[in-house]
Amino acid sequence: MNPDRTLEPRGDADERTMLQKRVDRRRALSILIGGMAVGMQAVTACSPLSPVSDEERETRLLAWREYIKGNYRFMSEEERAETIARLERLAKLKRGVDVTIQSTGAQPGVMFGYAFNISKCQGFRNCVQACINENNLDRRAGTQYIRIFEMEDGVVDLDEADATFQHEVPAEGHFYMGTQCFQCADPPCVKVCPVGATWQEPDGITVIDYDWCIGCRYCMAACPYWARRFNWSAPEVPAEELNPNQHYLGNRARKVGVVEKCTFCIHRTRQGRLPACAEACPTGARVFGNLLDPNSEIRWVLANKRVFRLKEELKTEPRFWYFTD
Amino acid sequence: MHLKPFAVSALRSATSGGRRYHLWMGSLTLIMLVGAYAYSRQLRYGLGVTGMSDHVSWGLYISNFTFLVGMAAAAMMLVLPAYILHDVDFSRAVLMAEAVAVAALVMALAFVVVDIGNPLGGWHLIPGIGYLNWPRSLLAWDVLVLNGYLALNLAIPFYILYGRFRGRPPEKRKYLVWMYLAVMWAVSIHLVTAFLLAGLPARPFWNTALLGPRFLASAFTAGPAFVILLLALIKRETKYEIADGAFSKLALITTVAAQINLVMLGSELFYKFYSPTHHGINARYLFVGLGEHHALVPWIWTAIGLNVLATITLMIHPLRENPRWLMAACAVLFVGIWIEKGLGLVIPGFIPSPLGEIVEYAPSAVELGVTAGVWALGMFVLTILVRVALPIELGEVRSPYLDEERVTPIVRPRSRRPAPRPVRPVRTR
Amino acid sequence: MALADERVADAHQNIKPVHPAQTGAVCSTCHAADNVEFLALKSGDRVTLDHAYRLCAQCHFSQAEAWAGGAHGKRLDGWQGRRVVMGCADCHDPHKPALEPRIPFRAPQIERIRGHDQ
Repeated sequence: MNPDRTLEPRGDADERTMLQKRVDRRRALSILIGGMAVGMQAVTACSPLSPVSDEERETRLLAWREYIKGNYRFMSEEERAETIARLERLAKLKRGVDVTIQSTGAQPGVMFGYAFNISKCQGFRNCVQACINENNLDRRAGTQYIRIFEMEDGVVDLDEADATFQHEVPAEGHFYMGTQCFQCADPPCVKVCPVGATWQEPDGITVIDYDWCIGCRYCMAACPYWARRFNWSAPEVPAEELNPNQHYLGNRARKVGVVEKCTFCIHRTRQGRLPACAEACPTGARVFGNLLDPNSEIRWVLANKRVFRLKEELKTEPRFWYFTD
Repeated sequence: MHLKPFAVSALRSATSGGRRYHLWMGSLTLIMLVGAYAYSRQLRYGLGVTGMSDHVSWGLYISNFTFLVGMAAAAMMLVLPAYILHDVDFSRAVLMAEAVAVAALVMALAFVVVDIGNPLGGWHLIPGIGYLNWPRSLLAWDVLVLNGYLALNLAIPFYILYGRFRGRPPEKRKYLVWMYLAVMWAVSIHLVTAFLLAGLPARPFWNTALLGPRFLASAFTAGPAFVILLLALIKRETKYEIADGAFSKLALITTVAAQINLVMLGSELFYKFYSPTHHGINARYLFVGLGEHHALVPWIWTAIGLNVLATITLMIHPLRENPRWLMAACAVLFVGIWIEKGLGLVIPGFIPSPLGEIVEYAPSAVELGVTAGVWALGMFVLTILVRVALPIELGEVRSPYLDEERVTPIVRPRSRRPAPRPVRPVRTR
Repeated sequence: MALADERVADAHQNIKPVHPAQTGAVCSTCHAADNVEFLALKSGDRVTLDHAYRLCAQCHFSQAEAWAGGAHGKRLDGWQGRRVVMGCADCHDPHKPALEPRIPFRAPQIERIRGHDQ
């Protein structure tokens, strides 16, 4: 047998296709290289090897590193600093904006509490507007963390309340009550998250790691106060309205497919400032402070005013009280 | 050794058939492609392309998921009598029921995947590299039990079929303990799914102890009904023998479960409507509507009507014994339970919202497309599994190494070894 | 009576004495008659305009107590550290103290709260 002869199919010479003809070594090699060249061109059109800009390459690398990172809650200080640096750089690359993303932790000896005066609230919704601007809420979807309900005097029943009022306020015979995330002490949302993307910080704020959330929306089903919002589409904030003072667990840029909610303006309150809603209210209906400080305003309200909470019977222990004058 | 021929013959079984078979598989493929396109739009634009909202944050996908987990659980209803009670009638039908369980599970898991907003982050669920919030989160439980159940339902039938394929009948002592486990697991998968809804005090429509039992009752109604329809199809189209006893026993299970389901429905209706508390407001939306919002009212009453009609039909013994009436009743019951459990359970839990706001829900075209695609995927998987299992069960397909193995069970048959090359004599000077 | 005087009425034409009318007060009830910089308390003391809260507290003692504790009024700095609050007259016009009704910021879009579709 001639060792150089390659396998030949049975059949007439005329019936052989091009592939079945005798292919000697040189032709085989040239076909291989030609095929590789064509393949490489097809592949490199969309591969890291193709001539893309440095910025594009950096963005992809940063995005990849962000994708493979773990849960912020379990990160070391170093890892947190790294992810924040990446996110700030990505904001610059993608939108050309300079943002500062804090990773400020909870202050010791602080537990935030909030009180809402339903005698004073006139339904102006200044708080809603301030919240939208402060927290970079999606303008296209019109996301609002805060809801102000107009209720009839004598009836504290949310089923009968109306949040869509758009007339001169206050209306005769009605009072106004606002809701947002109450940062419950026993939060049902934290219990149900399958990946632990939401947890409560030592200062009482229930936070979300937006990059860890898988968007299953179980927490939204579990919240008795309808406090959580989902990004059904990619959120849009005009660059000129963007608040660059951000916190990793708060108002930094969120993405489509993840849950978000009020964080008591964590980027402000951890620096000793009031949340935007409390600062914006013109009637002084909102009281915010440290529950562990016996001299705080919130403690005075709880001690001296008749306070109540929503859905008290569910034992979620919200840290948000309502009171009257 | 037999694995490769098993895979090859399975592929051949699955891809060969008459014109009707190819038409069926072709249509399913087409629907799957439509679903894939719809899903691609969802990936591109976000879940906003569906009809869901911040108020109704779970819709058609989770409705189907709930229903299908029930179907998967109910398939095991056949396993218990067949394997454990040694019921001869059921033994031939069991593998088909396991195929239904696998297909239903594949669909259920697919519905979860298409529902989550950040599917690329799915690895966050894997304990070890991600973080699974077990045991606090019922969804974490669900992830574990559903995947475990899928593994069991793939492993046991594979062991049985592979055993038959290679001519070595499966040994009962080897798989019986897994069978027991699978039966208990079947009940638990649906209870866990029920608990993940029932454990939410924020949603009074679900927050009742009866939800778990209701789930089981409706699952054991729709599951066996579907299996009856499948077995009837197999009996008509293939040479596979299915005893009449299997049909009548399954029909009895379906009937009793349907009756229990209606009793539970009646119990819920009484509880929710006798005193008009806040707890009943979601039920009021579903059954009578709230003001101008009444989109689900015709659906739920149709479902109840179908269920009652089918249950009464099945309760009449001569009708239950009649194959045509039985098939019709099973089909009607399947549809009725799907509407009741799908649309009539998940959606009304969100309307009105916990703050009393009413936003209604209607699935969008994308949602319908993806749903159709996933159902087509399930039917595709079911068809393939049945198509692979039947020839082996009928004894038509066996491993080519069958006889050789009997002769030399451990050593490789000599005929497979390549002929040794003749050694060239080395010339030495 | 003082306002009946034409010269006084002309100088204070932009002041609508709603609160005095409600309470039967006259200008000298609150203002020191001889010096516009001071307010007159019932006890005979005089306070500067910065300490107007002492004047308002004479009648509005429950609001004053709430204001001192933190349930009434507006805090200006953060929740932490030294407490800086608005005085009474910083929010309430003493002559017309009630807050004016207004049109609120836009209502939420309840029906279409989800994002855009396609």
